Formats: sequence, structure tokens, C-alpha cells
Amino acid sequence: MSSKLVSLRRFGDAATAMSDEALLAASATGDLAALDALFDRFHVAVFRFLGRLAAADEAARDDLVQATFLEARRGAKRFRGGSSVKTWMLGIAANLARQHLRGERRRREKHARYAEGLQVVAERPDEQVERREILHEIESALVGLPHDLCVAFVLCDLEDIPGVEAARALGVPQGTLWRRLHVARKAVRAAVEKATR
Amino acid sequence: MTRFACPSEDELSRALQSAGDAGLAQHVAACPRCRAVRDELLRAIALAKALPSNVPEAARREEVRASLLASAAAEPSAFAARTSWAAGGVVAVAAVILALGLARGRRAPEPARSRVVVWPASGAGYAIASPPPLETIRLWEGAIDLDVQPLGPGERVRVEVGDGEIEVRGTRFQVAAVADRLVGVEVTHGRVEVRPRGAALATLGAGQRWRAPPRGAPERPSQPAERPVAEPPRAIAPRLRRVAARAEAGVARAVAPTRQEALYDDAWDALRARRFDEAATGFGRVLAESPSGPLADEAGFWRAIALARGKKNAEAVAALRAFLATYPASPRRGEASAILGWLFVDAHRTEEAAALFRTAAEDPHESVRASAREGSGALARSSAGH
Repeated sequence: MSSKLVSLRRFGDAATAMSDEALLAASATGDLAALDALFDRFHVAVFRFLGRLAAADEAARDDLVQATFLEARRGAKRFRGGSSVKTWMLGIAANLARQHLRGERRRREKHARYAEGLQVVAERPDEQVERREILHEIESALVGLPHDLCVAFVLCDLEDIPGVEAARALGVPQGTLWRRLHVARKAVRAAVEKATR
Repeated sequence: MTRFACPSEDELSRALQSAGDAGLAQHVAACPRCRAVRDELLRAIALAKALPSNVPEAARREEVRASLLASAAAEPSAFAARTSWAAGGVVAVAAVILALGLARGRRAPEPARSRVVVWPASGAGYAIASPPPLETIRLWEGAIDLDVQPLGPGERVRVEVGDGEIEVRGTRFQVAAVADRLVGVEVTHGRVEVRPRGAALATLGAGQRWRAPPRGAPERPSQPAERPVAEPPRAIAPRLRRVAARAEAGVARAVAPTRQEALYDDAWDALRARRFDEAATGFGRVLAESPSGPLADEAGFWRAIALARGKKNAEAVAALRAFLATYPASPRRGEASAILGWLFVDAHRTEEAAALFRTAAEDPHESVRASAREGSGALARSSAGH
């Protein structure tokens, strides 16, 4: 990752007064300070979202986060206010993650990474073993889900984004989103049942 | 029981996200079987929320930021000609406003907007059970802080716990539960109605609190919330940890906060609103007025965090050092060590940082240990680079 230093003028307090839409528009004009402020505002949500998708290892996730903000800047003129800026950006992140995951090799790596994680946790003594088992069953279920189903679940149920808004951000009909969400929920519920049987 | 047969699981699942059928909502409220199915779905969602969220540490975040800005600087902007911020920003904002106006004119009617922002404490088990206009949040475990905007006609916001519910009327308040049992409610402003099953209904106003009545067996206090190290958590965690811990002795009544608690809560409000100087001053007042009081260690810790967040690194370092020296047995020792370690990383004081990361690596909370590992890794990379 480049460590080139970029001089920019910080917005400071002015940024907190600007709407998300205004920051996005300003970043599209080439204003790096606006992009910086946009990063401040949404980087946690984008990191967390991509982390929950288990779409990549840490280094690749950093690249996906960066790509999400760059793509948002490039595509700012396409933003029509059909969802919040945050949801729109998570939609971009979901698409980038899908592209990243394409290919069986990457999918296999994803499963292998998960298996490594399981071994580490299984060896760690902890009084909350049962809870950890449940969480790992859920994580396993999410990793095993097709990408689009996982995205629907993470957006709607973990990020608490309303289904209508999520459907707009992903560019899918609401009915499609409901179906994906329901299948994903059933998988997660089954994982909880399996862990508590 | 109700006017129609039990819905399918698919319909119940959909009802969690789509505002809709009042008849279905009534049915679910009245039908134990459907309520149980719905609760199982919500419980699974609440558990999934507890999965690690992989929020980056400060050093990694700054690396990504630097790379992003370098990449952005190297490519042309979305507009053909680059303009100054003043001109470009105004033009762009105007364009967006125009675009939004045009888009709104074409779009279908907007769905009802949520009136609630939920700030969960780390580890809180909750899920959104129904969308607006009849919003319901189901809470099992831990603490959540809710900001509820004033409600319009036909809008309701409720929080459900296994043994009760809270009805809201435009307010900010906190709710804590232990093992699906409501243990505490605290109102910052506005009014809420607490409806515990088997206990008296209570209406709370600003500054008032409700505590669960004592039960036969002593309650187990909730686990202290895990906290991310680099980013201070939302305001609710400290207050609600206290709520849960004191639930054993609680009674079903509203009580006013002590002066120290009021000062502490005000400081937290300031911290959450990113008024870092005011927050640091507020926590400092708590410390000054009651240096050995029950909130002193928390106030000391959060004062340091407020200073760090306000970019007053030198003062934050001094405050964290004072905290570690004054409260060596504090459960936040590891967390404070990790944060101080990162401040020393930034100041290139690598030996002191390494020692602090070693302390933090012993912390019982994984998030703190992870931060310590990240910090040690950053130091190792830094020394390899030289």
C-alpha cells in the first residue's frame, strides 16, 4: 500500500456541519479534504461491513475499503438520494466484494481462512464456550452463504438498514431482497439451533 | 384468538422488515406460537450482531486513508475541470440538491422513516423486530441507548424485553437487560413508560431512572462490555454497566441521579457529540469533586479518551499515565495501556509503547489484546523498516 504523503486542507468543524450528500458531491469535484472528511464519516461502517462479509483477508479488505471510497467519488454523480449515502456506499462495497470473491480459488481460500480461525479459537480457553460455539456456527453459516444472501443479511439485519433502502442501494427489486434475506435468516437460525442442540 | 390463521415463517420474517399489516402485528402479539417463532428469528439476528466487526486500529486506518488520498490525487476528478473548493463545492452541492429534487419528483412515495437510532453497547443482544411506523426493538442482553425523534400520528416506538416493555414518546433513553430480564431504564430527556410484567407501571421523565425490583435469588451482574480500543464506544456503556450492576438492589421506582452522575452523564453527552474539550472538562469536574467516588476511575479514563479524541495528545498521555498510576487495579488498565501505547507509537517512543502493549496483551478482553498485538506488530514493522 502506498504511503505517499498528500497535503490537504482539513475541513475541521465545517465538515461536521455538512450533509453526507454535500461531502460526497464535494469529493467528486476533486477536493481531497472532502474525500478525507467522507472517509472520517464512513470508514468504520465500510470496514465493519466488509469484515462481516468475510470477503477478504485484512490486506485485501483494506484495498476494498479504499476502492469503495474511490468508486464513490467517481460515481457521485450517479447518487440519486434513493438511499442514505452510507447505504449507497455499502452497496458499492458489496459489489466490489463480489468481484473480489469471484473465482473458485478465492472461495477456497476464504473457507481455509475460516477453518484456521476455528482452530485458533477452539484452542483458546474461555468460560463462554457455548456462546463462542454459537457465534462460530453463525459465522460458518454466513461464510457458506452465497454472497448476495450474505450481503442482504449483513445490510438489513446487522447494519439495521431498512429493506427498501437496501434494495435500492443494491439495485435489486424488493421481492428479491426479501427472498435473499429470508433464506439467509433461515440459515443463521439453523446455525443457532445446531449449536444449542 | 385473531382474525386469521398463523402466518408462515416467511411472512413472519418479512414482517420484521416491511411495515405493514397491522393485523399480522396484532396476531403475533397475541399468538404465543408465532411470537416464539419470531423471537427465535430475532434471537439469531441478535446473536449474529455479536460477531466481531473487524473495525481497524488507528494505525491501519491511517495507512488506508493515506493510500486512498494518494490514489485520489493521482486520478482526475469526476468533473472535467477541477475547481476550487469554494466554487466547486457550491456548484456540486447545488447540483446534488437539484438532482435530489428531480429524483424525488420521479420516485415512488418514500417508506416511513425510522425515528430511532440505536447505539448498542458492545456485546448487546438486540434486533429490530418491526419497522416504522410501529417500531419495535427486541432486547435480550446488555445495554442499548436510543435516540427517538418526536413521533407523528400513528407512530409508536417500543422496546421489548422478555419480562416487560418500554413505550417511548420522542426521547433519549437507555435500557439494560440481563438474561432477557429488564433491569434498568434511564431517561436523558423526554418521557417513557416502563411496563414490567408483574410489577407496577412507571412513567419516567428526564433524569429519572427505573430499576428492576429484587427477585428471590440474587441477580448476576452483566458482563462488562468489551470495548474497541482505538475508537471510544458510544456513550451508553459506562452508565448502563452501572445500571446492570446495581440491579440487584434496585426497586421499581424512579430516582434522580446524584450530582456526580449528572456531571458524568453531561460529560458523556459532550463526548458523544464530539465536543471533546467540554467532555474532558466535565470528566475532570467529576474527578475534582469526588476523587475517590464510585465514578472516579471511569471519569479518569474517559477524560483521557476525550483529550485523545480532541487531538490533545500530550495532555492525553499525562491523563492516561495518571489514570494507570492512580487506578492500577482498574478493569480498564489494559485498555488504557493499549491507547497510551498507540499514542507513544505516534510519538516514536517505541520502548515505552512496547512495554504498554505487553501489559495490554494480558487483558481479559480480546479486543484489547488484539489492539496490543496490532501495536506490537506495528512496532516490529517500524523497527524492520529502519
